[in-house]
Amino acid sequence: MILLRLNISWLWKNNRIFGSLLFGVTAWVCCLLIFIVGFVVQEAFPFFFSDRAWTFISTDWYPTDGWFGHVSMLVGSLLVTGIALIIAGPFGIAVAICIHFYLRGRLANILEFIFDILTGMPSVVLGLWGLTALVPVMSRWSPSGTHVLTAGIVLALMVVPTVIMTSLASFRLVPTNLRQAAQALQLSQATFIIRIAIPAAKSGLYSGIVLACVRAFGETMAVLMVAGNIAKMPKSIMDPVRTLTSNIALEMAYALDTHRASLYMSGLLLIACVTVLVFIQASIRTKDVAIGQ
Amino acid sequence: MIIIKHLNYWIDQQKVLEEVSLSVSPCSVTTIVGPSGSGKSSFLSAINGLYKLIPQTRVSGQIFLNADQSYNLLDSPNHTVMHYQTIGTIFQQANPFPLSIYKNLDLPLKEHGYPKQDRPGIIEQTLRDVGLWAEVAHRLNSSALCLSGGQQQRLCIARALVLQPKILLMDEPCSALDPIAAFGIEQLILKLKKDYTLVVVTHNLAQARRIADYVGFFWSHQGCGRLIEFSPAAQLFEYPQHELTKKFLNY
Amino acid sequence: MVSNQKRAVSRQQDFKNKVFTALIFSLTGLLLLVILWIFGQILIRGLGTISWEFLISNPLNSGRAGGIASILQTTAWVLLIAVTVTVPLGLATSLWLSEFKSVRLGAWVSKAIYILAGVPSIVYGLFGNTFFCLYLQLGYSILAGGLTLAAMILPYFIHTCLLGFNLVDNQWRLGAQALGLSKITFIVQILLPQAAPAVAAGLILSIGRATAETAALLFTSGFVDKTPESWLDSGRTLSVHIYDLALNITGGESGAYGTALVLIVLLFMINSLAHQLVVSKRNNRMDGMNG
Repeated sequence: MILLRLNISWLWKNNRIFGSLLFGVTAWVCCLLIFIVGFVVQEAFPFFFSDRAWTFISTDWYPTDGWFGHVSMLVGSLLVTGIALIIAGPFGIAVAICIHFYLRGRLANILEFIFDILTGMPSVVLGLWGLTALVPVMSRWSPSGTHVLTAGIVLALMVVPTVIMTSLASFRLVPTNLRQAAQALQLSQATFIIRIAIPAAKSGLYSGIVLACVRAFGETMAVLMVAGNIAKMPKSIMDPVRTLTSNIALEMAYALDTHRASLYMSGLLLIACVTVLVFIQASIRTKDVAIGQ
Repeated sequence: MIIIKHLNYWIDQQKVLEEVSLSVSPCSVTTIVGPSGSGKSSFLSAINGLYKLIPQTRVSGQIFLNADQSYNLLDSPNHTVMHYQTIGTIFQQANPFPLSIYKNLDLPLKEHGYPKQDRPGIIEQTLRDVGLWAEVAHRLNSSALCLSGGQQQRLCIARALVLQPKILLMDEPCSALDPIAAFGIEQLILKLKKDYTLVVVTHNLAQARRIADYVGFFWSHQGCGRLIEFSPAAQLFEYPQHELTKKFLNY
Repeated sequence: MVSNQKRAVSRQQDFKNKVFTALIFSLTGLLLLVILWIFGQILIRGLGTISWEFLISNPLNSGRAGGIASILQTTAWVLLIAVTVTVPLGLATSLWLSEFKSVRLGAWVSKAIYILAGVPSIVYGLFGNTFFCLYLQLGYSILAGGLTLAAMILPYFIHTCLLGFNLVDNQWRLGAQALGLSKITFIVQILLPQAAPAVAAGLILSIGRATAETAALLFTSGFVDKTPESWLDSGRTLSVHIYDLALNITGGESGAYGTALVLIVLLFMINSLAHQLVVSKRNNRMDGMNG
């Protein structure tokens, strides 16, 4: 009995000790993660407080002359991401519909497997393909093949597996008795999908698209290889463009002082955009909960 | 025995139990009855300390485990861990761990330092006590999740008994079981009361009539539960004192 | 009259149905064709470069000839460093968040982790360059690269671990507490075995992400294409090699495609392993419910 009594106090302390240990590690990890943002902020300071800081909102990027205008690159990122979503959205949801509502058994499993694996496609490889196979095709319609549209297409291919997998997961949450009810009412498959299933899965579908948006916006390599990388405002979708992410990748190697700090400023801008997107996605989710799904 | 005085329980600033005071006699079955939401489960969680696992709960009052009323359970900083040896809890939904039958019982023994050579003996005796030994002796290493609902609940009772508590708290132990399995558990409860003090929450009045020595009737008024009446079973069922009790028994 | 109308309406419905179905299938078919095109290209252009020699010899002539042996080694080292750092830190953090946290703090940390998982990898490269390469004076090294990757996949790994832990039945937590079991016992005997497939799948997916990563490594582990002798040596991974050959080296295309093929095969193996774990876990839980 005495042995058991001793065990009790040791145990009581045990939970505390163990908990504190884990908390220590967690706190350290959180610090590290705050560190990352903090570092980027710190390195961006020289730019922020320099006399060229106001050039941030201009459209011209001539770092050697002291012009650090991010607007053209922000527009570039937004355009390329926008085109990617316009393509990947419908295609992704269509494929998810195809797999979940039209295909059975092994075929559905195989397709799902393929796209699940494709979510891990390395962007360099897609960029390589884009550069060597797509660009020559696109160059039939424009002087070079490297422009906004090419980048948009490559990016779309990059994020479409994400859209497919999240849409598939959302459609799976639609209760099966809805389909049975639709069949009992002699509703066609198309009517059921368009008028019942899609509205029911709406928030999940939106959520998936926002997720794809986050990925596309942060993508560097695939875009770098096919977008042409001229840091000017694109006048049409066949114009070359440079995105915020590619800019960092291209200039980091040789940037000094204010130039370097301005790249960190770009990094901060990227973090800010991603944060906004994440909050948008969170609010879609809470609306979901409010409806009571 | 358990002596409870002026127990108040808040969840999220909302009071769910108001001034509950009662005494549970040793080696007897005390059933707690009442409609859903009258605070019966909260009452149990205050006694075994599991209320601390629910966020934003607060409890005040006194709970004593001995007649001299020297030590208030609610004052102890980590009351579940310190009193697992005295109080065992059985939940509504049988929750055997996803381990083998043997390991379900061995784990608590091992954790609390019972010597290796004693454990198989304790496990066998406990399984006999709950009436499971004959059914599982040949497959002690198979998964506990493969047992039927009634068997799983017995296993959970065995798991609580293996630490030789003095008090067993049961939160609607039969509500998830079919009538035959439920009957088996009731028989087990009646057998256990010789050595243990049992507090059983149930919403099944017929069951309460069958097993209870004492009955506590809870009722909720505007979201807050109160103990309306507490007396020996025969007295409460035959001659209920309070209006609400009379109405409830007539349902 | 009414039945004629009904027939007209149902024919219209029928037509709409057929159009929709055709649309769905053609979109799917188109996408599959493009994917076929992509993989066909990689296969055709890459297969010629691949041979046993390719895998065991080092690159020559900036990668226009020779193989990728040193690059495979670098990739392995960088991944090893990343995983060694991520697993303990990630598990400890997700265990704390799951079993010990106070509610309010936990919500903030979860949101922060979600944001960090979405931060572009190039920003991690920026951070890694400044912190690991400059401040900690590791220079362009595989150690810096591995640590940067660890920072990158840590949020994602924590997120998947938390998902796995959440699926573990809360009733077991209550039961364990009621028996006075310490949290370590609960975690080791019940939580981890049950959550193991989810954690493993999450880890494997994180490894996949790290393997495919380029941007974060460009300025942390560098471009040197020799086998690294120590952790402080610079080296290039498979994806960095592809990038270099594609953009900077004329005539590097065939080398790039060969490396790309190797990378894809590697990732295919990694991701199908994770897929298997997730699918089999889905099936196992169904059995558990029936059993």
